[in-house]
Amino acid sequence: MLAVWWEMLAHAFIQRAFVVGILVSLCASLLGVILVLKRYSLIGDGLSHVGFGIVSLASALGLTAPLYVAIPGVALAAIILLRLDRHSHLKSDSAIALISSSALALGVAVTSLTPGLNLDTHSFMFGSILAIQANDVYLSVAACIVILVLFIIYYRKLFLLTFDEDFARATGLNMTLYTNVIAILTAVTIVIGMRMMGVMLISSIIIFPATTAMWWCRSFRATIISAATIGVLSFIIGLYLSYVYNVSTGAAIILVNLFVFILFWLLSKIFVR
Amino acid sequence: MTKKLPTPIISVNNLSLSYVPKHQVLDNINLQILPGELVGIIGANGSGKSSLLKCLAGLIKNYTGTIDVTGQIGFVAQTHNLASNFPATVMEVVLSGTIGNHPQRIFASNDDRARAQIMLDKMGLAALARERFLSLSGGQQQRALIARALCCQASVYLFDEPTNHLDEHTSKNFYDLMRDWHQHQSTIIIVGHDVTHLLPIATRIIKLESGRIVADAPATTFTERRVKC
Repeated sequence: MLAVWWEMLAHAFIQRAFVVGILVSLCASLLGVILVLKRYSLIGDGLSHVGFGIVSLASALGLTAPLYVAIPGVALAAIILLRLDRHSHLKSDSAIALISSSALALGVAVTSLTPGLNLDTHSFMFGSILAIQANDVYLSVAACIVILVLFIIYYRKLFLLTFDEDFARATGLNMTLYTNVIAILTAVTIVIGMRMMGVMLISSIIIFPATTAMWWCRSFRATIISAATIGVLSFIIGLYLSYVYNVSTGAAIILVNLFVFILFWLLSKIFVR
Repeated sequence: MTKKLPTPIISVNNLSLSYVPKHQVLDNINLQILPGELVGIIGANGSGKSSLLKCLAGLIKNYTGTIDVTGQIGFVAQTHNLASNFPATVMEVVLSGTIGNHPQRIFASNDDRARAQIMLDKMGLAALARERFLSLSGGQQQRALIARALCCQASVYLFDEPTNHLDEHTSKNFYDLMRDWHQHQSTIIIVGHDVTHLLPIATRIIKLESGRIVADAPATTFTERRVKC
């Protein structure tokens, strides 16, 4: 196995995928615990579709770095989606469905209508580690460090936001700020992860590690640490299997996550009271 | 020379609230609560008690009129809406009550942990500190949420029917604790039906009917029969 790893890591594109994948998996897993517990599991799905729409539009307009354009656009969509749930009759699941399908339709329409647009829709939909460029690595490392630092700084407030928002508001904490922080961090994670994982699969690395950890963790802190560990290990194993068996990296990572989920579910039935 | 009255810690002026047109949940409420008062708010179901408390806590904003609350609030809601599999220990929940005391702190301090431990002891939950919050009974969960509220170094504590899920013995313990807490000059507002326990400890009783204050007087002037909801 070690020999295969050495062989894999000799490729520059695998090195890039390795760095970006570990960081994105880590961030997605941490944020996933908050999003799953707040019942925003599908927001990753919606935001990745928005990301696709914006990247398509940016590419059609001839912008050279569409990911940089996508981050603010997806962040804005995330803030709107999270605020809609609290301030509108339109509930979050309906809002996600409306926004994601509209953005996807826009992306597909723009791709079809723009002559000469070289956007690999299949690669965007299902991910490709070949698509990760050196610039993406720098962006990912910088963004993920910011996400991790903010997550640690706001950890206690995020717990309170997740557990009991009304209590937090009553004690005078600015929950709108922390909701926006979550929205922006999720948006950044989605945008930098969707090239590798694909628009259709990126939300799984948010949902699986958190739900797997919740099968057996008793405390919030243990859930956060377990989800992060599960997310990163599933990525590493998935990348390895993807290389060895020549399957799509995104799909391999999700299937590993699924396997771990079922394994932990069975173990929780046996060992957890 | 007249004695200067203390500045109210809560000042409510012309407060009205309606969720649907032509149905006033709260109707022109005017209220001043002074530091150190222990106020019982009573009334039948639908009289507007919980809505008034939520307005004071800042959870309802679409009212007309003004509300001024000085300082931090400790709050216990009537119901809570948690994910059925929420992973949090009792200690994590209670400790979260200290977050508002020092919002800039990244980690809980030893003082915060000591305060949480004291509150767990007071509520008889010390042995369950490491248990999953949602594995507790409804009454134990409520006690943990009361402990969390008391972890706030608040100037005002708001309790919305806090003894709803508690048995007779635990209810009495809660009101005894409120009596002790009140000795520390805390301002406490309790919404409740439990007149038998509320009347002996409250300094003031406010009775609501159809969103209006129909009685507001020192608790000593009330009899249990008069305040019955």
